Amino acid sequence: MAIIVCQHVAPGHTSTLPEALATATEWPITQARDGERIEPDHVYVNPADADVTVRNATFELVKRSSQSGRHMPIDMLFQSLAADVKTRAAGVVLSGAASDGTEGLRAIKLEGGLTFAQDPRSAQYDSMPRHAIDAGVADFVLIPGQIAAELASLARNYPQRVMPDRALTAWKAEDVARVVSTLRKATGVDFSLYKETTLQRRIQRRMAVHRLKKLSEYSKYIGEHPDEAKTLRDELFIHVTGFFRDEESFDALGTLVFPELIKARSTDNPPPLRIWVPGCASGEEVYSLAFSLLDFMGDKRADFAMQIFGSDIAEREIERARKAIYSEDAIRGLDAKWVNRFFVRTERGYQVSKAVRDLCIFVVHDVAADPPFSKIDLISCRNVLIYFKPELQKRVIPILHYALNIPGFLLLGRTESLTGFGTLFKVIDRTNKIYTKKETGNRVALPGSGKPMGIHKPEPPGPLHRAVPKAADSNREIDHMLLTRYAPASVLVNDDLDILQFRGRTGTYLEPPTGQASMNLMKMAREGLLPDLSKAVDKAKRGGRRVRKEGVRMRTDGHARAVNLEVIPVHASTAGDRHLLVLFEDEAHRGVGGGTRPVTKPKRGTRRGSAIEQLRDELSSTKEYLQSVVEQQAAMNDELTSTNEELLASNEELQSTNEELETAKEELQSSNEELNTVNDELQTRNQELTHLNDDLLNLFASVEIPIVMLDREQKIRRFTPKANEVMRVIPADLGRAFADIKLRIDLPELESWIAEVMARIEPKEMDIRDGQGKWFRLRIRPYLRSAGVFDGVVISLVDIDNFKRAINEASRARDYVTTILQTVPVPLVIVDHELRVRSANRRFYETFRLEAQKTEGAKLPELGGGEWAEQDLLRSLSDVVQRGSTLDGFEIDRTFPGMGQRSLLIGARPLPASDAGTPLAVLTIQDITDRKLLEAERVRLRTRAAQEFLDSAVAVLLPESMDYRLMLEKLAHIAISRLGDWCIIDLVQADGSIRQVAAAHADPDKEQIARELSRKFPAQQDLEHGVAYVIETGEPKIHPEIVDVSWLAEVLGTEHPEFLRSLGARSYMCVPLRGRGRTIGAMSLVRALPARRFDNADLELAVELGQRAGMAVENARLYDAAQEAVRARDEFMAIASHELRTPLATLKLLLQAIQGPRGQPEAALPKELEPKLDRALKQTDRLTKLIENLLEVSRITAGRLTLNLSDIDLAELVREVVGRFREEAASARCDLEVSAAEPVIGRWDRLRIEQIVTNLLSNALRYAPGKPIEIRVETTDKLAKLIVRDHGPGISREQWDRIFHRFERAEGTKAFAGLGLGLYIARQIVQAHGGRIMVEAGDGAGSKFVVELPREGLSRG
Amino acid sequence: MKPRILVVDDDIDMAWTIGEILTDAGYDVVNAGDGVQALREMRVTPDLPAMILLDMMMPNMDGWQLLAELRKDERLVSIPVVVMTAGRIDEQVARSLGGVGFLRKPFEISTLLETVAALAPADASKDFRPALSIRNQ
Repeated sequence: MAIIVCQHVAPGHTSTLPEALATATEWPITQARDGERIEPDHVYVNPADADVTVRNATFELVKRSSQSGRHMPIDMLFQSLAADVKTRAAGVVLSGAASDGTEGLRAIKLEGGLTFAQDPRSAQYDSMPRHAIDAGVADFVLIPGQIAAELASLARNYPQRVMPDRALTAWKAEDVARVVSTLRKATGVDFSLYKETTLQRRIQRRMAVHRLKKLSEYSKYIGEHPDEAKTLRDELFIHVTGFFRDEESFDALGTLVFPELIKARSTDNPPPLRIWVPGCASGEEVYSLAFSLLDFMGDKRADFAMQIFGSDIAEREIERARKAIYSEDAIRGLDAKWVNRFFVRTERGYQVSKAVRDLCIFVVHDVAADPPFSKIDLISCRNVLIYFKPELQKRVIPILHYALNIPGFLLLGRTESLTGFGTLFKVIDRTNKIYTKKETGNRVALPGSGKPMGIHKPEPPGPLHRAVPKAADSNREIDHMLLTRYAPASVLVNDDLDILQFRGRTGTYLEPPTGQASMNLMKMAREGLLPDLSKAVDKAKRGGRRVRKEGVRMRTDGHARAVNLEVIPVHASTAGDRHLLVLFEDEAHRGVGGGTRPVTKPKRGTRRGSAIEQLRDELSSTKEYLQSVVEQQAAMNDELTSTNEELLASNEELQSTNEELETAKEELQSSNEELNTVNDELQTRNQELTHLNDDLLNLFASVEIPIVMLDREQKIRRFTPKANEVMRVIPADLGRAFADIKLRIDLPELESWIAEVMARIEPKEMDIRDGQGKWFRLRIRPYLRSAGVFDGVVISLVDIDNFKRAINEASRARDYVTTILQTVPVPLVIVDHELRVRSANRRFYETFRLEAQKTEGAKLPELGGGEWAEQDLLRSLSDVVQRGSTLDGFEIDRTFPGMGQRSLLIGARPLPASDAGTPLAVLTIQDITDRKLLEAERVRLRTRAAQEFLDSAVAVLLPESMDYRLMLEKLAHIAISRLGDWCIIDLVQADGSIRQVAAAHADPDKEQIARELSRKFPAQQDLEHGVAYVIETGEPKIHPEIVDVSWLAEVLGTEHPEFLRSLGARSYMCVPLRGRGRTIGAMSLVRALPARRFDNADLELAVELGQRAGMAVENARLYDAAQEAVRARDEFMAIASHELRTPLATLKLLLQAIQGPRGQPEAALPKELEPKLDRALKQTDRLTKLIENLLEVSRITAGRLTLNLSDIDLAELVREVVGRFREEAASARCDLEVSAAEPVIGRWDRLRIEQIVTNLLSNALRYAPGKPIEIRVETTDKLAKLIVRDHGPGISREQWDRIFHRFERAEGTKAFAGLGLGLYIARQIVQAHGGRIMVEAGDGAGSKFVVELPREGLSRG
Repeated sequence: MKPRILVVDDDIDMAWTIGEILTDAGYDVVNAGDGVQALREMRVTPDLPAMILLDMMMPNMDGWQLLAELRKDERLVSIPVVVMTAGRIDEQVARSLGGVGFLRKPFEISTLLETVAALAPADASKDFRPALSIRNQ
């Protein structure tokens, strides 16, 4: 024996199995190698990367395929092993998940090997062994140790298990026959007709199972164990089956058979399509046929009915087929389309759908013995005949033929054929073994008619033909020889005159008739023989005697001869059957044989006469015969007619009887059903009753109350164990009168009470005391049956002593509490679950001016004027009462009558449920009105102070806002005036660093220390209270209590905590300075003294202050930036104009140098150059002017316009300027009308005033060319007035102010060159002089500019 | 002997133009690019200029510094200085610093000649000739 251990291993996994096994066996252990021959006494393990199979006792390793389906290495191994060593294989399935191994065990079992499964209870993973057991393929279910012992014993007892074919020859036929006969007796199946190899193999297997070595032992064993016969039978019928086995056959059916069958049904009212599958086993074949047929039919399936019969001899298989539940393994190979279409998933596997199951009918049936089905269209008898011996095949095949319709088809297994039955069937598909029925006239002997062919019912054992002794055979042989040699030719016919046997040479007397083939004696009789023969037969039949006729003339092949006939009735072995033996003898032959009578021929006169005589005889005998035949015929006809009628009648009768029987059966079934139901019901009732009784007994035992039940006669019926203690009732008292019992408590009235209860049928209850003063409650109740019928009393006696005491105790406690409640100076109310006031203390009534009578029992919201009807309060209170929560500090504000607006603080606690289980709650009410008012006032004051502080801070901050550093110094001081004792302010610098910019201390001496705290930034960012953190996050931080000064040192980023100690540090906060949405710094405030700590109100205030300061700083910074920008611009302007003027000066000098001095004709330039040079000079002047203006503006905006005041005559000045414009006016064709005769003296800046006049004049000339311009100088007491009026397009009123602004010109004057600075400068100058300049509408068109200058000049100089 | 005029101006064109005009007007013109050059010139030469035309904004030593230096030097303190400026300072400032004349750039050629003539009368024999006449006579 060799052992192969196959384990599920992941590919690439190195198994430690060999090492593990080595500790358990001395046999060498190796991994199976491809091509290695299996050696005995060796253990092999499977490699991880390949599956092991065995062929010719050699390993074949199969590379594990990763593709299709589940990986089943154990099945593979088992199947290969089964195929290779057949009966010598043993398969063991041990612990494992899923179902691998089951199919393999099946294969081994089929081949006659032994199969083992580990007992699932001993397996770590029981799925694999359980699966094998459930599938019925495990011979043994054992724990591993026992399996090992079995295997060892097998190895010992069967060192060389023989192959079946050798065994066959080795076994004695008698032993086999005995087994077969035992089987037939026990199961009714004659296996002598089954193939011996199969039988052999199975028997061998069973022997192995029972560890029997000799067949004789087994034959004995099977005789003694009827169950074994059944098991053997079942095993013999194990058929290999499966869905769509040999699928090509189904395809062939689809192309060859189904169309034919359907074509035959394309008529009106088609007959049902019937299919029969003999030997269907568990039904797979049947369902496969159904599937493929349904599939083939498609939507035509409703056209006619279909029936598919599955029959098998094994009941168990048929049962399985009917259920049609198949394991996953069974349908694994099945195409998904079938599974999806025809299967339903159930708990136990896949079930064929009901529609299909309804088509299929399964019956237990022996094809060899039971009457066959008929009118079948298709028989699929695959792989059944192979199990039969030829004799049985010969019997079964005609049966199949008979069963078929025309057309009808037969499907056989691949290895089966119908050799020798060509008369019955015609091949239509040789490969797929499809045959069609041939029409034949011959009747077929069917099972159940004629000789019994299979043995359906167990029969007494009879000698088998195999077992006939050899001596008998030789006698028979001799008899046979003598008979053929010396006996006359004869035939044996039955009652119908059909020939059963021919003996001797009968050809002379009989010949096959023409027409339909027949074995009828009358039809076969040769010419001339018939009349005498029929008469003789008739006579013999009627008389039951032997009849002899001699000298019968007949013709054989044209030769006349005389024959002697003898008809002898013979009784066949079976009762009732009468056979006739007909003997033929030639006259001549007889003579030779020494007959009794001579030949009559010579005695009959002449040859002719005798011929006539003979003919006459013949004729008369023929007549006679005919007559008798006619008579017979007529009588027969009559008889037949009447018989027919009788049959019809009895048929009718039978039918009606049948119907009656059907009805009766139905009735019986239904009443049976009813009975079953009733039975079930009764059983249920019974169970219930038992339960009830049990319950009752348990109740009695567990109820710690003495209870005694009395019947109507006051006799004790039942009592609880406790009653024993209290009332001294013992089991022996059952049935005794209760009055006879001496109770522990002396109750003389008890009897009368019982009588009273019995009379009134009303319960009675009273508290009684025993001698020691203990309290009991006696209860007497009438005992009522379920229908309300009075039947005695129930007496219970409960010890209520503790209870009574407790009640007293409780009432005392309640009084105690009530007294306390009443005296408490806080209003208290007790409410129930409906918030109804149960009670309240005096204080409550006094406070809320309520009356106890009206209040108690009223609902809380209904009290007084509904002041308590506050939804949230009521809800919270309900929670307290119903859920046991607590309520604290619920505040309500209400106006109470006589009290005014009050604020109440309400609390509530649940009270433990008391009487009748109503949950209660106690409410405490606190009047906090005054407290609240005080608080509100405090807050108001504080807020106002804070506001004032902020206002004052801002007031201080604003004027300083131009220099924020100074401002922050002030801020720090303001801050400590209210918030803390010292303060430092840090700002984020442009480079992102943080720097202390201000510090303040309430004590001026210490302020310097605060300023000089050596601080390092960045301070730790992750320190939550750190300055850097506050700046980073913008969140204010407060630390009310400083315990350790070194902490604050860390926060502030100083390395000198001793400085902080001298500054004092008890409480700290830090707030961000925020301006324009970002944190620009932080203000840290510290309290030096423990008097007061910072609180949140302080923090809020500080935050507010920080906010404002941040804004102020930011504004100051912006202002600085703006100032700087203006300064830079002015600087630029100054430099720019200076830089422009220098080259201009050079240019002007050069131009004038070219022009030469005026009035020097000898140096004059050519005439044509003069105007060009003039223009160049004019442009130079213009440029000069523009630059001058720009410089002026920058000077003005820089606030650097300074006046050089001197006493000047405005009139004179005007005249001079106008004089300068003469030439220009002429070229502009403007008349200049000047009225400035009187001197107008004032203290002004001459150059600036000139500038104004020049500006106004050049404007007028530019905007109003060709029109006269008037210039006037006027004077009043205090003012000097200069008026310049033109007649140009004028300036609209809206623009009067605008034109004096920088870079502005009157609209519509864009066409003119200039920067628009002139009027701006003019106004600035005039204003610098304390005067004003304005424009007015002139009379008619044009503009009028008026300049007013104070004559006294500027008072401030 | 032509009166000598020292023109101190860092703008070469300006200095050249003034030099040409004054030369034509009969002066001996000496140029200096800045205060340092001017001082060096005056301290080296035995013939001090009759007057100085001084630009204020210059590199190395500007007009103000030169004025201050001149005031410190006994030999030079009496030389009249006419301040030429394109900048912000006005006549008063210029005078307060020791200038005797003031020319705001740009100025007329006639103003220049008048100012110079007022402080240093030119050789009467020599008439004004345009320096940059296109006809050379």
